[in-house]
Amino acid sequence: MENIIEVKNLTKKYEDFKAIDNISFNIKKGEIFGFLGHNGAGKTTTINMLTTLLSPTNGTAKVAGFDIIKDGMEVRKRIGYLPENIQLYDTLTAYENLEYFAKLSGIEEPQEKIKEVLTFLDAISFQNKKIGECSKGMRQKIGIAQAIIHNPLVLFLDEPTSGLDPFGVKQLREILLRLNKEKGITIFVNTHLLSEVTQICSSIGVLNHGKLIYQDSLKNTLKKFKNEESLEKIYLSIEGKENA
Amino acid sequence: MRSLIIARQEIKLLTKEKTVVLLIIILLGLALTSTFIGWLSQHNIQQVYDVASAQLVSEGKSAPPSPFTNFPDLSVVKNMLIYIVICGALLAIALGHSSGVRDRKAGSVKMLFSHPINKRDFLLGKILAISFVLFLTLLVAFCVSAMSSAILVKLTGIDFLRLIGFYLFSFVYLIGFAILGLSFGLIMKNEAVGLLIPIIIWLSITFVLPGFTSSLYPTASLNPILPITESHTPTLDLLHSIVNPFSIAEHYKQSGAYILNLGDSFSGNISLETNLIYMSLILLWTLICILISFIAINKFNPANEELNE
Repeated sequence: MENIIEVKNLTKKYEDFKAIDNISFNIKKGEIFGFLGHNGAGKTTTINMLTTLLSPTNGTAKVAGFDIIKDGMEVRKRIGYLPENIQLYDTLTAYENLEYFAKLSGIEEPQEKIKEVLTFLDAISFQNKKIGECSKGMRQKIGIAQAIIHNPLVLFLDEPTSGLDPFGVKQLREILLRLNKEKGITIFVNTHLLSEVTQICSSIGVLNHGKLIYQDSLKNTLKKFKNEESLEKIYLSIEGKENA
Repeated sequence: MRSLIIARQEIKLLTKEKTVVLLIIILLGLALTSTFIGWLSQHNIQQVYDVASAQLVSEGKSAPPSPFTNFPDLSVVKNMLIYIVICGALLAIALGHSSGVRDRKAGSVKMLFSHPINKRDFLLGKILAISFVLFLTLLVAFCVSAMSSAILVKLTGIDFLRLIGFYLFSFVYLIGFAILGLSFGLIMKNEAVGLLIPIIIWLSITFVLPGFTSSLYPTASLNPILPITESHTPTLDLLHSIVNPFSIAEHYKQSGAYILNLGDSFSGNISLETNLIYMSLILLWTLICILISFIAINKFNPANEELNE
C-alpha cells in the first residue's frame, strides 16, 4: 500500500533546544496511526509541521504526495486538523462556524455538505446552537465536522480525548473508526492514552524527547512484546530502554 | 476570494462585539450632539447680540453689525473634529484590536490555517472588514450630521459636498489607527499590551507631540482649532519644525477645518499648499500603518495561538 505520509529527517530547533530531532517515518494510506509520547515529547510540534502550521528547521515531509514546505497549500487542501482544546467562535452557531470553514476550503454552496457531515456525526440536533452554549463533546463533534467537511485524505488529531467524559471518548472512538472504514480517511492521532491506541490504531510510533524511538504496526508490537501483559507495559518498556 | 470570506465572517463577528457596538453608538451620538451644541452656541451668541443691539436701539444708539452673521454654516459640526480625534480614534483602535485578537481568543487559529488560506488573505480579509465597519459608521455619522445640520441651519449643495469630503478624510485618518490596533492585536502575546501600544501611539500623536509645541500654540491640546501664534523663540521654533510632521492629529484638525471651510477663525491662516502637505502626511501615516500590518502578519505564528488575557 502506498505511503500517504513520508517524513524524512524532520528537525525543529528553538535556538539550542531540539524539539524534534531528525525523525523519519512513513504512514500507509488507510492506517490509523497513534503517535505516542509523554507530555512535551514533541508530538504537537510534529503535527504542527505536518499540517504546515510550522516550518521545520531541517528535513521535510510529504503529505498526500505534496511537500509540506514547497506545496503547503496543496497539503492543506488534503488534510483535516483537530487541535487540542477546541473553542471556535462562541457567538456563532455550530452551523455558522461550519459554513465559514467550508467556504474557506472552497465549498461555495456548503449547505448540503454541512448537513451530510452533521448527520454522519449525529450532530444535526445542535446545528443551530451557539458554540458558547455547547458542551465539550458537542464542540468536539463540530471540530471534527470542520476537519472533514472538505473530504480530506488525512485527518490529524491532537489529543482528541482531552477533557472528554468516558461517554464522549467512546463516541469519538466510534466516529474515528467509521471515518477510517467508511470514508477511507487516514488518521494520525497524537495521544498519551494507551487505551485509545489499542482500540483504534493499526500502527504506532513512540516519540521521546524529540526522537522517534519506535515505529511498527500494533500487531507486530504486540507480538514483539508478547511477554508484557498490557500496552502500557510495552510503552514503558520502550521508553525505559531509551531512558536507561 | 478567501479574503472576502474572512472579511464577511469578521463583519458578522464585529457587529456582535458589544464594546465595538457601544463605541459606534457613542460616536453616532456625538455626531448628533456636535451639531446641536454647535447650533446652540451660535444661537445663544446671536441672542446675546440681539438683546444688546435692541438695548442700544432703545437708547437711541445705532447697533453695530453682528460679528456672527458671517460664521460658516458648517461651523455647527466643528466639534466633530475633536470627537473624531478622540472618540473616533479610540473606536478605530478597539475595532482593529478586537479583530486582531479574536481568532486567538476563540482558539481557532490552528484550525483556520489548516485550511487552504495564507497569511496575506487573512490580513486582507481583516483589513477589509474593519474598513467596511468603519466606513459604514462614518457614513451613518455623516447622515446624522447632514440631517441635523440641515434641520438647524441652511446648508448648500457645496456644504454637503464639504461634509462628505470631511467624513472621507476622517476615514483615511482613522483607518490607520484601526490597522494599528489590528497589527498589535495579531502579534502581542498579552491582550492588554496589544491594546495599550496603539493607545500609547494615539496619545503621543494626539496630546504629547502637540504639547511639545504648546508654547507656540498654547491651546492646541484643548481647543481643536486655533490659529498658530507667532513665536520668536528659536529653540521652540526648531522643536516645532522637528515635531510638527508627526503631529498627525493637529494636521487632521487643521485640514478638517479647511475642508469644512470653517474660515480663518477656526483653521488659522493656512494656505491650500500647507493643507495639501498635511493631507499627504496623513496619507503617509495610513500607509505606514499598512506597512506595520504587513510586518505584523509576517511575525504572526499560527502554530502559537496562546493569548494571555
